[in-house]
Amino acid sequence: MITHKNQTIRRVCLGVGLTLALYTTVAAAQDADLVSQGAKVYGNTCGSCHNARSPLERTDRQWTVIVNHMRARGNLTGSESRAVLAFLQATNADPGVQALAQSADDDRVFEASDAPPDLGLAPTGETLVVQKACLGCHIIGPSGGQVGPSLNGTVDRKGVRFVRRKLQDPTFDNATSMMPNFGLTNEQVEAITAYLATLNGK
Amino acid sequence: MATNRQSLRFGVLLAAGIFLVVPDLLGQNIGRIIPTNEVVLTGYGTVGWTGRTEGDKANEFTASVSPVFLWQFQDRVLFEAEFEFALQEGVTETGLEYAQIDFIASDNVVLVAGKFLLPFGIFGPELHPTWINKFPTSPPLYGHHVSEFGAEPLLPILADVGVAGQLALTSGRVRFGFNAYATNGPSTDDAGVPLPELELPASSSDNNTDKAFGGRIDFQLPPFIRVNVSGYNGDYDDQNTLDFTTWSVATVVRLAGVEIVGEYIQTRQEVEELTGISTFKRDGLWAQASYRIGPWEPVLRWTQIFQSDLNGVIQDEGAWQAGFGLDYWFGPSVAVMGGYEINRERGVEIDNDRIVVHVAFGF
Repeated sequence: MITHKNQTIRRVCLGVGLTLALYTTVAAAQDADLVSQGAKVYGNTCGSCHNARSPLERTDRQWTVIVNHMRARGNLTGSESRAVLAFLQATNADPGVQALAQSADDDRVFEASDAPPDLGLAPTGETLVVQKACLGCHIIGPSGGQVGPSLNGTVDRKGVRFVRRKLQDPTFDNATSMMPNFGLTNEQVEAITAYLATLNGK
Repeated sequence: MATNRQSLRFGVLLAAGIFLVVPDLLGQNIGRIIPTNEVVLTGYGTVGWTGRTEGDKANEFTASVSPVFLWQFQDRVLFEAEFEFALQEGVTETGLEYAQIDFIASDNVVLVAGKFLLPFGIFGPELHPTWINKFPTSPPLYGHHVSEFGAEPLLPILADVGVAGQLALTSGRVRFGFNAYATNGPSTDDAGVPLPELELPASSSDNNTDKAFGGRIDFQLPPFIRVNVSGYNGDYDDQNTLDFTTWSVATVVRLAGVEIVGEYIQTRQEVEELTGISTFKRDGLWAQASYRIGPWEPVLRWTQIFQSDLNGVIQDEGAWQAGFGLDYWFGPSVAVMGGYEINRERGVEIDNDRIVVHVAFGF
């Protein structure tokens, strides 16, 4: 009797354990995909009626409500809504917190320079580009979205100073840019700039 | 050993079961947070100035605000309401643009009840908020805002009280939207002969037993093209004998930075004459092109209402408007918009040109 009970407990534990393992693996992959997909829907579908508002304008909870409002208004599917919400929530560092961080953190006071980036930082930059779901909007290498311009060769085309400034403040050259301000540190800007520099000529 | 294999098999089956079922149960839980009783205030406001070439109201300042309240209950129910407050000839006009409950029935279906903007065309349900509309006035086919246009607008921004359902589908990069609704419909309290003045503003009472029905079929290949066809029909007299029908074709095309929006609308109103029932037909179109150059956006808009006829007899010659606008965007939802309208009524010597400047603020 006791053995039978133990077997049942063992089976259930194994089942739950396997489920959690599966979820952890699949969820991590889905999160990045969902954010990328959300960026595309946000730029292409929401942006087809109005300028895309900055994700920084609202908190996570507010976006949840607004996305449902726009789901009804714009006839979005549930999967489109979830993707848009994932994108907005992944890129909307709270503006109040960010403003405090900007004033308190000297590292964020950034002087964009023409100095060539340290290409040794490129692998870190590549990781950041994946984390921030830049592929949702930009073509990088062979694939990506078309909401924003291709990032292949962008350092050549625009110059390293422009790229650094754009990463620091996406609206500096375009007040209606839908690119989120990710609140990147100086080192993160350098790393992404270095990675983008490796895409020149692609 | 056999027990271990059994345990493993059972564990895998249980894991597969939970893995398949749980996402479906959570299917509607969009995002990381499921708020209960979350209220959000959004909306838009406008301040402006209008100058005219003729008339006793040579120029005037204007202001309006349209707050939108969103209240979400758990993850499937949303109540939304938009009010409009506008200064109009010394009086503060108030209005309820919509007040509706949205029920998210499934991943593809949303049910709506209350007063809602009818999904008719593109301008009324989606483009009319002042921070979205790129010209500082509405196309004069719509009678939403004061217009100097010579002819009567074809329609107001259509809103009515009733129930609606919408279905959204995607296939690859293509999106389809289907809307259908039943509302109280048009009415009249005017005994004008032969043409009673139609009342389309939404009302919580109905003057007849007939409901109005309508729908829209929408096709999108974002962000390049969108096309939709809309229709609306209902009886407007007390005896359910006189029909009002309107339909439209609307499109948005975006290519190489140029955005073109266009809409054709036709209305047909049955009227009772001594000889029987006749049809009063009106139609018109508007088209707008805009192009963003940094923060600047020049806008050109053409609107035309064609000759109207009652059983083939021309009733009026129609009118046209050419609009030249320039917007300056401070942010995605804040812009100064300036526009010059040339308004002409065919067959009438009248100069109703005006210049309109406003600051539109979406919040």
